[in-house]
Amino acid sequence: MIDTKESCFAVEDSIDGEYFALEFEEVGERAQEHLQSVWQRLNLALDSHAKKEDLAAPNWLSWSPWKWTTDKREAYANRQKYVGWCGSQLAGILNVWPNFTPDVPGNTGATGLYIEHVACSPGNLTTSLWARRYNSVGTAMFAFAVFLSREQGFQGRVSLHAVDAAAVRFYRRIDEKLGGGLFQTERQGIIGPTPHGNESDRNRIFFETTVLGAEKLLQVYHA
Amino acid sequence: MREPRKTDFRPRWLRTLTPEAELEFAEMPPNGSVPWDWPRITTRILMHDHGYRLSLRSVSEVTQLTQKLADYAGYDVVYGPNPNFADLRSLSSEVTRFTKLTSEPFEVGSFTIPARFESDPVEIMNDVNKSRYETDQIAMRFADMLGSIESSTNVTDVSVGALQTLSALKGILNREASSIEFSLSDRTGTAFAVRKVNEGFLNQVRDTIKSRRSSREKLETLEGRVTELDIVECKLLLSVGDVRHRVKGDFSSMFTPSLRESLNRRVRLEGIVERRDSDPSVIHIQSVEMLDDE
Repeated sequence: MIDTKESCFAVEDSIDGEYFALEFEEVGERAQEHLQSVWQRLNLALDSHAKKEDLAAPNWLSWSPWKWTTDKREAYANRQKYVGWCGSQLAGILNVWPNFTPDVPGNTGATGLYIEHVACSPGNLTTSLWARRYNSVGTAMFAFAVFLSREQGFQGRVSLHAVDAAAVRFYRRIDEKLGGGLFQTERQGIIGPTPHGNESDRNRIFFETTVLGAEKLLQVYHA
Repeated sequence: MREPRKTDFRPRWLRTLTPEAELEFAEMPPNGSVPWDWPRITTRILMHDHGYRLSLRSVSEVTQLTQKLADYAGYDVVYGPNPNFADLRSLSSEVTRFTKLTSEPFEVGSFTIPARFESDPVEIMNDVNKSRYETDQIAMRFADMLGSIESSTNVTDVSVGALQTLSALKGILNREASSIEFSLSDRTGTAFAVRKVNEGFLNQVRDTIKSRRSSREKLETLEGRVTELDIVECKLLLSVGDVRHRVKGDFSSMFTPSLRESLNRRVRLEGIVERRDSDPSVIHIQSVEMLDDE
């Protein structure tokens, strides 16, 4: 497990309101097994239910993290893969790319961690079949990415493309809650470091944390 | 079961949030885009009368023949279409690594076998120069080969080895399946072709093979069991029902893919038959069909 030092990425049990600290590690055999046997089956169950009941399936159903974790292609060699655990439950995933410098006019050359995927597991999302188990897992995973960035020498700088309006709203709300200054000015037209970035990123809103904003976010989880 | 680590610590902002605001942060929308997939061939075996069982022999044959077809498609990608090509043993190890299909867990509830091309792009020396190839090209060529036969256009580009491999699927159709479907998709996950191998398709394969024969001599059919097989010398011995002596057979190397699996199994061979008295003694094989043993 990764030593999170003075940070405690705590999440709330939605059943009894107790708090539990997420524990993080790089994807290994245990995570791989969980992704293949539990995450994949939850996806399948939800997908089948959505089809049978003619419901709109959430976008993340098209994700296959159990495949991404074993991807040995050269093009994806720089991807770092982490999972957060809450006891025996896989709480969320985080895929990041180190040393990413956004290519923007007037860029000061700030390099950081690029977040390719950040998500809680299906069991921590309320769906048509089940209710969310742990609250605030996604926010803890995002904050852990900031922690990792600091640990890797990027001063807490992380960036990502928000995939839809809900994601844009969510990151803006975090910024508001912290009193502003979490992110640089929002931009579009930035291409991320992933091989598929050219196809997916151009029209998405790009968020990039400031060093001060990152510090503020980590203070939230400072135990 | 590992117990979660309980803590008295609450993230600072959760201490001051109203219940409504707390709800907003309770669930973060998953964020990220779908990465490149692997180019893939998904094989679906449709059973006679919606059957719910399938012999492992058929599963094994389908997977082996699918890999062979991918090898022929890969050959075409690297060296260009060659209607006379039939000997996969001549492929270099870098080409076979490039064309290698890897299966993923089979899907529940149907005989669907997902397989993907995992190779990174490669640079291979073909007959002229060193060029870069991607596995998307193999999937495309696979679809084109079967599409050419389906539509009877550019069928002369399809190698005889690929035709023989396709005709070997007939054994599975005879035994258990009504058709075999190949779905092709590229690395963006886009499904770009579905090719169905059924009796009609295999008749077209048979006609294509026949049309390439130089000899117009009368062909006969023998059914029996292959008792000896020499794939180096391209010879075999066939035990045929009432015939006292085993019938000698010779074949072109293009039949090696089909005959490799034939030892001790029932086959139907078509070719020019030489007779001693009235019994067949030698067959110069022109076509091979595996028969049901069960």
